[in-house]
Amino acid sequence: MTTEKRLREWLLWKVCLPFIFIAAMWPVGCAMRRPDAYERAFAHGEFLIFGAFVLLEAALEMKHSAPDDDWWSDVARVAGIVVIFCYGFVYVLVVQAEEKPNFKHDLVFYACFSCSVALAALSISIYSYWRAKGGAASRQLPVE
Amino acid sequence: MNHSLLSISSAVLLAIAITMVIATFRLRVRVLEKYKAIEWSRQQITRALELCDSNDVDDIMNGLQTVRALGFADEQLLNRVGQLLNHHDQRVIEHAQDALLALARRGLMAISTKQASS
Repeated sequence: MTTEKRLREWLLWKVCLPFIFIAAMWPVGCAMRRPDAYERAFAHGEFLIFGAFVLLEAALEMKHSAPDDDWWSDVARVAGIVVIFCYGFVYVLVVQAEEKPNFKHDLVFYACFSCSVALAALSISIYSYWRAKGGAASRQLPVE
Repeated sequence: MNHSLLSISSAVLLAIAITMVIATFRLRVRVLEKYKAIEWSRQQITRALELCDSNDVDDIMNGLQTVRALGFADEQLLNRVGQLLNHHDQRVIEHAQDALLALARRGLMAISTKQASS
């Protein structure tokens, strides 16, 4: 399998499809006529786990596809570890927030944070994909 | 406290996402240009190989001149240029030698550039 094909499959199966499936929980909740569909879908940090794994995957892919691009791989790995670290805190805070009387208002903030992490991880992964693809193209080019 | 921290973090993350999207579009343009250059080189190598495989001496010399101008070749084209060193026409042999010299010079330059950059 060529580097380009492997990268394309990685982006599709490990980044885009999981993102779409997790994001689909919101419209599914809306279809079930739940007024708090957005908070219920994202506040508990599923997107944080997604973001962490996607960033760690991007780091590994960059390590294999573009070995001369080490610093970007390290940035993605550190970002992934930071997101996993945040997940623990967010989960505990959400559980605490749910015990409060006006917890729905709090959950909106946690849900927005989770979505922002997911969007950042997704955009970093797509950037990494093009970066690795560019590295592969440079190696094929006979003349720089 | 928690709300403002979460709002600021979300805003920063969204800013990162937007920056990455813009950077991705710029990078995509550069990568697609590289792929166009690769495609162009492949076409030139194929054309040079077709000319070198021809029975017409003028076509062969055109092919060798193309190789010389390009300064790069794939394994098949390199083998063909090597075979042309034993051609019955002296002009073809001279052109083949020139083409191989150009390839060797470019190859040495590429190696020294790589060593300098690493």
